[in-house]
Amino acid sequence: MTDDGSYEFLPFNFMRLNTGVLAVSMGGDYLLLSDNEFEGFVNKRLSRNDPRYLDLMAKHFLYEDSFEFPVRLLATQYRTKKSFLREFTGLHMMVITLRCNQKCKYCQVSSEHADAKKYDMSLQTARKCVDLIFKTPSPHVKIEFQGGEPLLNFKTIKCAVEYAEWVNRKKKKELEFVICTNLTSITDKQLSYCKKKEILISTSLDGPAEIHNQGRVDEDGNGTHENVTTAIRKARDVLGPDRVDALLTVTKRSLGHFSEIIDEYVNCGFNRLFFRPINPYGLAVKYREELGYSMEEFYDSYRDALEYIIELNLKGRFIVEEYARLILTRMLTPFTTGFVDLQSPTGAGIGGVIYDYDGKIFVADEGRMLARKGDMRFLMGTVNDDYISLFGGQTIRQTVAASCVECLPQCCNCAFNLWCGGDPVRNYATQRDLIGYRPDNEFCKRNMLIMKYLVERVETADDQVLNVFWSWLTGIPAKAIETLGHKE
Amino acid sequence: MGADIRLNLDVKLYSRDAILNTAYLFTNKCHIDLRSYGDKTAEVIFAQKPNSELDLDAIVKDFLNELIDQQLRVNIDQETKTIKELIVKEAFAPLDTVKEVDN
Repeated sequence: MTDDGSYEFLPFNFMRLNTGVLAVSMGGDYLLLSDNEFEGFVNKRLSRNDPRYLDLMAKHFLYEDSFEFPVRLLATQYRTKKSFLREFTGLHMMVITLRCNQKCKYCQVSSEHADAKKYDMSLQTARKCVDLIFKTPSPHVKIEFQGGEPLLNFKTIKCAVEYAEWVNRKKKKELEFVICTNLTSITDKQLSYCKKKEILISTSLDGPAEIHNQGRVDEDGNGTHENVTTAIRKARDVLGPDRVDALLTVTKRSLGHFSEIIDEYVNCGFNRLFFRPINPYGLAVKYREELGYSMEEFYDSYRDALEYIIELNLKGRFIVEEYARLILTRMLTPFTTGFVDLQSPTGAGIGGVIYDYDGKIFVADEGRMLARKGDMRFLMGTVNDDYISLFGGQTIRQTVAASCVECLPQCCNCAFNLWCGGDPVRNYATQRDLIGYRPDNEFCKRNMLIMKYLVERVETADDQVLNVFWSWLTGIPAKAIETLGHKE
Repeated sequence: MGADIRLNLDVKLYSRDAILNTAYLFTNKCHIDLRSYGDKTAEVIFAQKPNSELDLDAIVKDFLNELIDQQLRVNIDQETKTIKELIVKEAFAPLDTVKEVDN
């Protein structure tokens, strides 16, 4: 071995950032190299005496004599990064009713009037859903009750919960229930039932009253903020603080107000929030001009919001932004995170699946939205079909095959591809093509902007900020992490 | 609307894959016509899109910079392709094979 670096490459991708060149190995490890370091490396002029040489060897970007050992290590890393494939479909969403007592402008499900009971899932359909759900090979089953407003058809929720528990006596899977509800109609009796059955609540809170009430209104157009926040407090009291979660939808009106939204989540006692851009489905399409924004506009607010959240954490208030946590987990640890909207292959169908009120089954909720407009592209079948024809059928195969970023144009060479994912359903909805067209793809743009920011933020972070990031990944408070000494 | 810009690229420096990969990234900014890929040169024509105010000269300059990186990606891919396939094969090998390797 000579000192001028007689080395060979191992597979990696790279991308030029403002602060250098990001190189990511096939195992997901990354290095941010200076332009000079990168040019030296790729022209095979890097000396063994260069400290970067050892970094590149340790993170499996290069090898000297034999590739056998690095290949085995990279295979282990790669297998770990793809470990979400091991269990197959674990998330099963049941649309209990299309009826809703709210008329939110950006509703992606195009709900029906609160007394239109023909849009309720029947007890028989619910039992058939449960029978199919338990055919999954996954040892973990999460059943999410969605709507409309699912509490309006509570008897079907009860039927599904009790039947699932009964079936699970034999199947013995790790079973979890979630009700996705706006909480405005929840009764004491329903809350007691949730407590008894250990059902989690996922609700919607868009921020303080002036923001929340602009989008989330009841059928008469009145804001629901007071109802929701009162119900959140009550639900947390009854079920426990960690049994109630909230999601928010970002509209044009919320941009520039992210710090107020964060304060609202803090005031309501939440430890996490997720800045979710508005989805291009349902009513959100109709009101695009009024509610929509560019990904650059979203990113500007998102970046400021993350800085504000970091600041709060540094002051001792533990609060996590979920999308950042998800990406940082993929960037900074050997592990992956199951997230159906951001994985390769996609989680549509093989990670999560949705059963509509009438028994139709779709690979993703967004596929159901398209079906409401008459496009059945993502229909897998119905609860009357057998498991193999549904989950081994053409719809799921075609969707998944079009979602491997390792093979998609532009994605295949992208430095972020091991942290990112394909979303064929969104591609189809927005660009009429499962593969999608990356140069104009808003999903790609958002992830690029956020991932670039997070890489550069981690690279420029001091120890205290790094402790905050690690506290998000581990759940250990940043103060406690200080004593672990993860960074010399 | 400005005049079209014609580029003649040296095929010893730039492969068909590198040119196509680069062109893909720029098709939202202007029209790109890959006219020929011969023994010595490849001809690429850039044309302004209708109503576009983007500077075609600047786009072509960015194209050329990007082309260098895309060619590098093609080179790395060629050098590491076999290893990449081995890694994926090993990663998804049946558990018994993994045990065999461990022993």
